[in-house]
Amino acid sequence: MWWRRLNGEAVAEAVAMAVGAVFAILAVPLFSKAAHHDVGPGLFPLLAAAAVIVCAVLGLVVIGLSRRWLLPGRPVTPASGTATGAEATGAGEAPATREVRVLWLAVAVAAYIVGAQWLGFTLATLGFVTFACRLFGARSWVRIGAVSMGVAVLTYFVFVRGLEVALPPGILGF
Amino acid sequence: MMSHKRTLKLVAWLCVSALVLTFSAAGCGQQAKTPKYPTKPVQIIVPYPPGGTSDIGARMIAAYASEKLGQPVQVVNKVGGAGSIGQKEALSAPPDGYTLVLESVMVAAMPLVLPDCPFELEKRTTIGIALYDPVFVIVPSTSNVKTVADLVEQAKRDPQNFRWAATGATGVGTFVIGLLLSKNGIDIHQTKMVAFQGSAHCVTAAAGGQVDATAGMAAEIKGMVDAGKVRPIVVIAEKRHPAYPDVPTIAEAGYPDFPKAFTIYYNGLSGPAGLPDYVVKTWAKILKDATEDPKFRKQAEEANKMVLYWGPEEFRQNLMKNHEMFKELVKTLGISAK
Amino acid sequence: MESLVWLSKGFAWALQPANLLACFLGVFIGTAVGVLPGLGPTATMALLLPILMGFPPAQALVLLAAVYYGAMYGSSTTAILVNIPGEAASIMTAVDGYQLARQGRAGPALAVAAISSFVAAIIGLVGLVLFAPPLAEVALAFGPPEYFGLAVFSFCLIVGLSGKSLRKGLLAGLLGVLVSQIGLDPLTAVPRFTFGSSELLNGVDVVVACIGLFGVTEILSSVAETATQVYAKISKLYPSLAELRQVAGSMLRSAVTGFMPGLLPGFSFSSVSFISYEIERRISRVGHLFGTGRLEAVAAVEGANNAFVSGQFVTLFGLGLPTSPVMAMLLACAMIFGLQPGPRVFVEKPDVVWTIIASMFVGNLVCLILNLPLIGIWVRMLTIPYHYLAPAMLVVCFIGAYSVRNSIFDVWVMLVFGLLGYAMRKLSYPVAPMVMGMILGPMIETSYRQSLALMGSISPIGERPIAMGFLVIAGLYLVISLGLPYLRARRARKGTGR
Repeated sequence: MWWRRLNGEAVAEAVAMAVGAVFAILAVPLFSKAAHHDVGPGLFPLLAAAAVIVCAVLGLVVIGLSRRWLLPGRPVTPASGTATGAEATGAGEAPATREVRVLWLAVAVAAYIVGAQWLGFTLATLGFVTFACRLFGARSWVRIGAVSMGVAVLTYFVFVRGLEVALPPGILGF
Repeated sequence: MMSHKRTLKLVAWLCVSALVLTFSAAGCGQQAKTPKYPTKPVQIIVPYPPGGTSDIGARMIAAYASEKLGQPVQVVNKVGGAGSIGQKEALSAPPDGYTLVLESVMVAAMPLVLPDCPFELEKRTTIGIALYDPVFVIVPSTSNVKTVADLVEQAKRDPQNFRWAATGATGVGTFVIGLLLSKNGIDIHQTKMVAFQGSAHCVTAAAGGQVDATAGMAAEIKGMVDAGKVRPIVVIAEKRHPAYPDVPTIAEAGYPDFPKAFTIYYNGLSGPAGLPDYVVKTWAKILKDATEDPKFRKQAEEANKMVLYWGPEEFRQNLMKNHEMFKELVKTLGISAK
Repeated sequence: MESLVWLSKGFAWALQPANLLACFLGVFIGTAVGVLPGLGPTATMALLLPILMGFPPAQALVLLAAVYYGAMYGSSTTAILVNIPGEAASIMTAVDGYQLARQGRAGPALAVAAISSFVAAIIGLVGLVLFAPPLAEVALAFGPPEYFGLAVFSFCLIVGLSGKSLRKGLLAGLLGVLVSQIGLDPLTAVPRFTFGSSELLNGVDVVVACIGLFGVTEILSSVAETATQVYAKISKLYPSLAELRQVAGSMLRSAVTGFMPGLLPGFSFSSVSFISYEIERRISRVGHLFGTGRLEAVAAVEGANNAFVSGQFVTLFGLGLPTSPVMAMLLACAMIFGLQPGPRVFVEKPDVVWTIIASMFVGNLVCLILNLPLIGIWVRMLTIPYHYLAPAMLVVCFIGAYSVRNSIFDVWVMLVFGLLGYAMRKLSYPVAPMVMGMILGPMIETSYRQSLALMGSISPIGERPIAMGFLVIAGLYLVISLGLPYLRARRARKGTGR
């Protein structure tokens, strides 16, 4: 599982370099659109993209010189008792497993966005808050239900009704 | 066999039913022809930043309409693409009368000067206009230029160093000043045209002496004129402006054939193609009533705008005429996008 | 002085019940709007305008102005409490403010923000009253070359915001510049990097990106933490006198760093946020501790953004020149009410103008009085268990990102930036330079190209003192901030005898 130990920074620099390259390539055809007395819309993107590539290459060089392509393996830490509160959930999980929750949360937000367009913002909020509370470690279903209902109802009345923010309505019309 | 009484009752009942049905059918028919509109808030999309002259026009119309229609009329700003993004959004909305767009004269030019213009000019339902902004050409007060002739002379003397500000290919200033220059044999591409984002910035540039000339609406220039920073040298209109009686009209300045389109720089209302008749009629009436309403007229005066009504047909005809005019102008000035 | 006579009359008018009520209402609405991320004073004014149409001009404008500066007080609240800047003005407040909140010092942070806002706003208003006409002229002296100089100088401040690795900061900044170029080219309306998508034609909105980079990132990071107590126990609610004395200098300086940019069109709140932070960081004795949770930083940024508002009123009243979208909105509202801001307005409608100016003094005081007790409520909010608070915050982020342009696409952008920010945090890439790049990129490009159109080439910039001044200061700044640490390191090495 060497890829687990891959230096994240190296990946980041490589990605940045790729992004720079893409922008640079896309910037070239823009040069034909230059008007008079104007360098046109292509120059600055090209300069910025080139600078990005340079910075990224420098970064990779630095990493290469110190041979830090792969980081030493991280031992699995036992439950760190830093929780000062009562519910110290997650204690006992390996750091990697905890990190997965970030992914879950991101997926949940994505589902929220899609759901808001289908079910409407208010209903989607209900679903999302319920799921997210669990993800953050809430235990009591009663409290979770109360919070999600509360947030959904409150945001509906304050934003949709009160401030007339045109949040997406769903199949049920609100 | 039924008794006579019963038969009579039956016939009477049949007649009454027939009458009732006929009336209700007629009533339903009426309802089908003109449904209640509007039943929920209407949005007017303004493709320009808030606070600009078009935005103010939209808000004035929206406030007046809200009162008359009994439903809120909201102004939503959707800035971008020199005004084309808002157009696209409004014109691709469902033609139910709940999304309209406020547009300026320059919309007729957009398909010609914008690369990849995201909307088609003809695919719209024109509703009408109620307001327009008088356009002026202004120069810094530190300049020696007092008339259009002086300005042209300044440009002729040294075209390479003649600096003027406009809002890009879709700016009214580009066409107005560009036309003045080209009619006098000056190629605008030899001059120093500086593009700013918004005519307010153009006016500021003139006020600061950064450029030699620019165009601006009455509302935009008033502050700077009062501050003594800029001087209007001509008004693109058929009559002199009441607030600036010494400023000649474009015809008086020696250009009687100047395109009429710019004399009425309107705040126009349109909707997506296929807008139902009752929507168009409702709004046309609102615009017409607004132009006759004393409170609205007073507001317009204070906002340095002029009041004028065009109905749906007149608006469409003028829009298409302007489009033809722009086709010519774009060729003359050499600012096509394609 | 005549101005002072008028000002006292203005106070008499401003304290009349109707005007005072308008002021209160405006402050209240403004504070609420400031607290909510995404929803800004411009949109709110637009919402209020139809309702206010029937009211007398003085009242309506007093209320609208109050919404504006009220928002500047409120925006620091969420920035400090949950690392979500309510407005672009408070981006840098979040950096130190949130750290303070985590350390249990949210109370003092909020209080310092409010007090600094008040002090700086008043100083700015005094500047407005005394010096409006000549100061307004400064705005006119700025043409494209001057903006170019200014933008370049601001970009160099990235050096200060990069933390340990300048290269990483620069990389982030440049990536921000590239992102800012997505959409239509401002000068030629040519689509750039849109991949044919019509949503990308609108570009990436900075506020949306900020909500993602600061708010969403924070929440994403926290879901992986074991400790559910993100915030330490609240130690006390208000700052001590000693702490107030510490930040006094920052407060006074912030008045200047905020007021001066207010005079110039083209300055955005976010730029002011960065510049005031950076200047204070350089000048303050504890500057090297900025980022770990310093009250001085909060004071500097929050004071600056309120003084900025006062500065903007200088050009609005002095020249009728709006220096930002909010001011343009206010100007439009003023015109609809029959008030034509500009030097003549002092002659034509002095009653309305001075009522508004006086009410701004009153209004800022009201803001202070309103915000201080609210601190208790806000701070209580932090004691809600984080696993209920965090999802609610994400909902607020959703609404905030959506409400900027009524666009679902923007919410996706927020998520993308949230994930990006998370990755950047994990790999220790600084986030602030990216935001700076997004804001300054367009300014540098546009002003450069406009300068070219104006002057033919860039060399005549040498003849423009203000522009050259900025470029020279930028150069000096770079030399000093890059050179000093290098020299110090060399001396240290020599000292240890290597």
